[in-house]
Amino acid sequence: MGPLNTPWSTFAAWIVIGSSILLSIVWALVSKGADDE
Amino acid sequence: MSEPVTYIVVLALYLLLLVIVGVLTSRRMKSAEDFYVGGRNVGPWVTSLSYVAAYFSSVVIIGGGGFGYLYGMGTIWIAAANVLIGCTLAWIVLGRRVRLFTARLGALTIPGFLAERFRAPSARILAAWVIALFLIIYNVAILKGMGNAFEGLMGIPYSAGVLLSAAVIVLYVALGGYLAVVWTGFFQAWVMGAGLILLTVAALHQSGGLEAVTLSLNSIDPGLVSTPGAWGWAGLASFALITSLGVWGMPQMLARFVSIRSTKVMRLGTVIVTVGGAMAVLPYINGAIARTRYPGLIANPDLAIPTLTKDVLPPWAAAVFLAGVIAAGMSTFAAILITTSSAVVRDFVQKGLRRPLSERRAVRYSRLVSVAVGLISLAIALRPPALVLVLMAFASAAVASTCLWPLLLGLYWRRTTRAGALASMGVGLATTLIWEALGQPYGLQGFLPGIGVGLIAVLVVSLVTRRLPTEHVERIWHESAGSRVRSAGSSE
Repeated sequence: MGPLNTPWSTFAAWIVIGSSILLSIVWALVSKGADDE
Repeated sequence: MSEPVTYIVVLALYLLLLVIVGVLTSRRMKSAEDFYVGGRNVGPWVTSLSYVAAYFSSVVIIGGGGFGYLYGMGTIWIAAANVLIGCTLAWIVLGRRVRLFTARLGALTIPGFLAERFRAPSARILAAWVIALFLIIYNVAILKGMGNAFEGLMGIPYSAGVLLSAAVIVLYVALGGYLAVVWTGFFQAWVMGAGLILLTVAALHQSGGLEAVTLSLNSIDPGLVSTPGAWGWAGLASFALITSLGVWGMPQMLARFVSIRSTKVMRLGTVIVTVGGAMAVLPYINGAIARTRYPGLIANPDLAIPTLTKDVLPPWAAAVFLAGVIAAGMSTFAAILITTSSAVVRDFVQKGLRRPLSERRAVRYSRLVSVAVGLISLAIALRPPALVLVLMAFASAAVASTCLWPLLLGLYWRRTTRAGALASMGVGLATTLIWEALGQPYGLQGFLPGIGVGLIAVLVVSLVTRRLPTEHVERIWHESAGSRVRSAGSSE
């Protein structure tokens, strides 16, 4: 069981959503120098 | 204020705001480029939140609640896939290159991009026809969803709800074109978010919190908290994939990348679209909460969200939620209307039939076509065919399986040839249609075999047919190494 009495198989979906937000922030920061415009 | 009066006041204010946006944006329109892509000068907040608003329609909110009710918490995987693939990765993988390449090629629309990228006028015509035909079917389903929301949440007759929604949308799209679509989409995303958050907070508060809901679901059936649960992997994964990857081939979504001001502001847009897109999880959670409270809705799970709304929200908040559901439908409908209009006027009449039109006349025709497409959708939606939701899945699958690979490989694989792109479009579309006509063998939706066969077609045919001229391909690619890009001239 993961947090909130939720099985890890389901809780992992929350982790994916959180990771997407982190990914977008990291991408926004690291792709900074690559702008063509 | 009594309940019906509250609903009517909130709704009237909201519809009035949309019309005002239409009037204000119409003053900024001077050319066809303004009508279709807002002069390619739309900022990151408006672009990304209007993307979210166009992504999730009323059907997703009510139907998503139905899935959450039937299958429980495992359905939040659909939202997770929508956020990661449909929002974050779509912006990272497609956004920047669509913006750059369409500017270099002077293309305003996705059919226009395919025609210029592959030097294939027939790709433009095929894509324009597929868009015009299937997106109208899609729009009928969206309107029906709105009519049902009016009826289910507010007690307004279906036909009145459909008429009112269509009239307002057609008015602001015809007046303000793309800018009206994205600015209303921007406001609509906030209304959707506010409505969904209000409902979720109230529902969780009255149900003792998320942990209590999970325990309660577990006591009804452990399959309601685990993944894949009762739905099974095939059903859950294919639905999550279609609603996520399908977006990568939907022109009304891709238009956001064409119109954004620059690739620079796209970075902020990617963060906003990801955070905003996360609201997609809320309908599923509310559906699951409804399962713990109203066990008698199994026969009609689409009543889960309306029932929950009436039960847990005070009238003013229920009115905001209703406005959010209507907003979700309107923003999707409007985005499709402008895309269909551009396919007919720009890609078919101006480019396909080679009818030179002055800018003024092109805008006038586009307005007329927007009104005509809106009225056709309305006429069908007033007496919708029984299978409208099946048709909706079928229509989106047809469009996405036609456009996905030529677009994606057109952005990333220089070796993609004209014949390869056309083969993928034809074979992908045909496979999807045949698969659907056969009644979805093996329980697979037509989109998956459509993109599978379409991928093989584009790879094999491109490898055995003549390459596009090197200078053409280099013109599209070489500037991505860092030189400045000229903003879009409409040389298309």
